[in-house]
Amino acid sequence: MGTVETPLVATAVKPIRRASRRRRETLAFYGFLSPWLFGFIALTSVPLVLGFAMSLSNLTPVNLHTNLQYVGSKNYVRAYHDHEMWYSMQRTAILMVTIVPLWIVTQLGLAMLLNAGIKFLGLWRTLFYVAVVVPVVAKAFIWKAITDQDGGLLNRILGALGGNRHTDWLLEHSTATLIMLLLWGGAGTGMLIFLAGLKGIPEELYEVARVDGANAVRRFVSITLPLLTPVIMFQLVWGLVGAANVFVEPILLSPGLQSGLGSTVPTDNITFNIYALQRIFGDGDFGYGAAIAWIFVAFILVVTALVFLSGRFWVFQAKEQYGK
Amino acid sequence: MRLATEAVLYALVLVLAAIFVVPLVWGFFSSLREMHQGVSGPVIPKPAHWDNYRFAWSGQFAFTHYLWNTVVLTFIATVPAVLTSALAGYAFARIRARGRNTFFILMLGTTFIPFAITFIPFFWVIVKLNMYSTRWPWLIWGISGSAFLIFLFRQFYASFPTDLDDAAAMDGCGHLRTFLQIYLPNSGAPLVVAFIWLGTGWWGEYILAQLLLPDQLLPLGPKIAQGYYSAGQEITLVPVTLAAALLFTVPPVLAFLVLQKKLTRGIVTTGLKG
Repeated sequence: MGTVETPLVATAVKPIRRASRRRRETLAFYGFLSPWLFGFIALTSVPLVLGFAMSLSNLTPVNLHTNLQYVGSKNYVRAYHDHEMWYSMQRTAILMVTIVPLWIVTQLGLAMLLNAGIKFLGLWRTLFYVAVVVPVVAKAFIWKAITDQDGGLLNRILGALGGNRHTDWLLEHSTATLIMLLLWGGAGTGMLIFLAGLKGIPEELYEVARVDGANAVRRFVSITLPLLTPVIMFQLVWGLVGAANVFVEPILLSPGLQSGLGSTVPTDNITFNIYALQRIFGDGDFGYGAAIAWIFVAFILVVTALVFLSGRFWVFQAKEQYGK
Repeated sequence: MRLATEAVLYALVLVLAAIFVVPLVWGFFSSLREMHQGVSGPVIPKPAHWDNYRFAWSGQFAFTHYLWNTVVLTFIATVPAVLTSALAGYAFARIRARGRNTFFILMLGTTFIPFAITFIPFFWVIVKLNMYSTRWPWLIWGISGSAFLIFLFRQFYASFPTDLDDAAAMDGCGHLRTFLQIYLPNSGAPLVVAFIWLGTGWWGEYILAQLLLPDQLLPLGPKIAQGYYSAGQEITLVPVTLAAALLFTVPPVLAFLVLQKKLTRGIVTTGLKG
């Protein structure tokens, strides 16, 4: 398979050999990539195109064979006038701007604590991370037990502090409950990534700064933070996309025990994703649901593009960071 | 002064660790309460109702049946995905070909596409292909790999010493043999990260199974989410449901505890930080 160099090859044949080698490489590349390409076509490209076609139609399970029509931008116009859709977008946006900073501050804070040379590092790291591997269904039941109106841990603590011990968290503060769950369950991975980033900062930089008399705050602002900006950007983008896609947790945190999309998610926790899927599986309105989903795609693209573009003003770019 | 800083540091770590662990402990305590009682009563239930776990295991449905379903789905969605992601990661890192950068950007781009937009048409296609109510979609997800893992393997392989390749090429190894005999056996770190992330994710997966599978094939996630009920169906048995949820949590936590050193080392060495 590989190139066997024979010194006897005449120079005239070389271009041909190079071309065939190039073709072999291309073949190997696409061969190696073929499982992913299969998924890219079946799971992403075809559904995207189909979804866009759906959004321009009046497709419902009923009129598929009888009255399927091209309706142009009708679904998009309808979405524009749909107050509930705008409300769900607003809730998604609120979730994004709340949870992402909380995640980053928590993750970076925990990573810095773990990087401060404490003993039993492995133990602490395990305790901070373990929530990440807890299945989402278990997470939701645990938070339901914590926020329970009668005897939940949160109400007990509030009661002991002299507050209201009968708050209905799941209904009255559904977004706060959701954010608590997401913060608890989603901080661990980012913590490990920040920890890896912190370990990548050369110790000499801090030594030089200490010699120059820089205090801890100064060292953090002038060394740690700038050198971590690529990691922060990474976490920011992943966090925003993750927060925008929050979807299962609100369903599982809905009061009562009906599961699935039929559950009674409190209005404040109906994210964009849930709203779109409720239109489809609840109302059977495929065309309208697909149009909403496409508006959502545009929204995420705009947000992430703006974040990426903003990077040119605050992400520290050292040559060697991209050299590898 | 130095001692004081240290004391503050340890106090802080202790408090934060407690905040992160208390939810699990509370869940555990609550799983031991009298089954009709909800979460009220003393903080540490007395007496502890360990029989809740027996009820969770066999009182309402055969836990082992759905446990097996979970194992099968996790296996067919995880194992192929890790291997094909490693293959693709190698291709992106080591094989020069026209279109490589384009596909790399497209690959990263797929992670930005929200679930709602692709799932609906995918659901449609699954129904058309008679794969609704079967496990085939999990195998399809498995074969297609995961963009995040491909990125992980690419980063790892890109920092691999190239003299190994040269030696392999000298021995007449093609890319496939180089990958299988040199790269894959030396990929312990990213393999552990990949198996933990994808495996625990699929283990706890809820919504896809809920939407695509009949009760007979459900994994534990959606099955437990239905909850446990008293004989007349009128009361939710919260402690029993929590007991089932915690039993369901044991395998991924054990896997993590066994592999956690390798996991953290893996994240450091793969250069995931972008």
